[in-house]
Amino acid sequence: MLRAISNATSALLAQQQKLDVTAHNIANLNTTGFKKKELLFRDLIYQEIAGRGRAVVPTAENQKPVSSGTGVAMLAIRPDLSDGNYLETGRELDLAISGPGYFRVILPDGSEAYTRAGDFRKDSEGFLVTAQGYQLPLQQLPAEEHSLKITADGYVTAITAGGEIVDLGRLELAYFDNPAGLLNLGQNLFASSPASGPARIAPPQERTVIRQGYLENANVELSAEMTSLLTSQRNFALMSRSLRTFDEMMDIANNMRR
Amino acid sequence: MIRGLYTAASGMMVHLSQQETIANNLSNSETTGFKFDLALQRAAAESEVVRISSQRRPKIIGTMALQTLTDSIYTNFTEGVNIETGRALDLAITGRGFFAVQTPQGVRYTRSGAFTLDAERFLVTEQGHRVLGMQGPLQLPAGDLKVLEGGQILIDGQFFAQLRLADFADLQALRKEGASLWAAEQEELAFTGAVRQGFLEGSNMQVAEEMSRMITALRLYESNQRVLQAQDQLTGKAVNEIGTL
Repeated sequence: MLRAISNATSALLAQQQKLDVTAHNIANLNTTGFKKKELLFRDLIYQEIAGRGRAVVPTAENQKPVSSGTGVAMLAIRPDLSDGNYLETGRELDLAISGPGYFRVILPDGSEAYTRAGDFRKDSEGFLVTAQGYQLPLQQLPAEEHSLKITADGYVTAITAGGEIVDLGRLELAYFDNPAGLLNLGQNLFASSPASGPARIAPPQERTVIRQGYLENANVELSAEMTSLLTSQRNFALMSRSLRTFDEMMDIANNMRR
Repeated sequence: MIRGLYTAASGMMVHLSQQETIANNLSNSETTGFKFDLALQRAAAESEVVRISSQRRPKIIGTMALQTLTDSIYTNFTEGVNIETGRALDLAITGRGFFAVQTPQGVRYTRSGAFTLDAERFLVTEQGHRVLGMQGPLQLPAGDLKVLEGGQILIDGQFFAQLRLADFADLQALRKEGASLWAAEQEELAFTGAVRQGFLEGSNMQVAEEMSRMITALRLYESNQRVLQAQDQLTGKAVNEIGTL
């Protein structure tokens, strides 16, 4: 019976963990570039129930022994990399990627990092940089006052106050065949790893659209998270019910002889 | 009467086992690829009942089972609902069949297709067990991954490997080992199902069914306890009251 209690307890713990993940997702509803997480479950080992004072048919030689499960545990917490919700900011240097692909960013040590967070600004030397000051591999912007235009397929042009059009080349993005394998460096930055595969540097491919004046917000859908919350609650209630049933059974057994 | 105590006790034990199985099913309401279990019971072999009377010769009047026992666990292999995740590495099997994975204890089979790539780009389960193709573990090169219905793996449109997919003649002989894995001592048969990329198979546990069974198990446990108490009272009377002056 005690194993039955631990079975129910394992499920309660697992649902609590799922609740934590859901809460984390909801808390980051408005975080730029946030990718929601999901929890996967697995069942625990199965134990033979014969031979421990139980009424079980003795198992024949080649027969599968009668066994019972011991509960559930968390298998993995995985990120969901689907596109986020797009927020229109109207800011010239805010860029969002719709579809696959990452912006490339040069870290101070010279290595490359990748990000989806496109809240860029211009630094004192006229280079396009991230909010933390890491440079994008793009040409220097003209010194005089200008407005920047970036097309959906990545062509960058600057139009100066005098009406001169300066071609600044084309944005190149990084593509991975397994983005889930990217290493999370924090600050919305990722690095490539053997699991993610090498970065394929290319101009925006067919399914990618660059949107100027937009930011990619978290890909958290409140309705989905609320459903997840409800499911966790229901499962929690179910397992509490299961626990109470065992408790009642123990009570029945204990009160056999008054 | 003493015999009756043990009969009632065996009933209680059987219903407890059933309850444990139900609890495990409920715990695994969201486990990928989980198949729910039913604890089946049967009566023990019947033995002769002899009528013993002071006026007559002893006579066998029939047979009666003296105990009930948990007979076996029946795993229900109906399909769980397929959940669309959109990930290239998530696979679900519709119809019969299993994926094959390599574990330290040998080859095991699973319906849970929540796969990922490890640091060396081997296709693995989230627990780190390598998924097997016909030629062994699958180390995927870089490129766009597509898995076809028959389990063929294409990288950038070119055939790379065939997933090892198995079916078995006797599904009830498979042993559950936890982590959505089954051990088999049978030969693998040809795969007759279909693989869907971008989906995961959910648990096939039905809440309403499990709850009804749980109520039944609890009440029968209680009923058996009452029988046991009645036996106890009868025995008490026989021992203490019959023959008192």
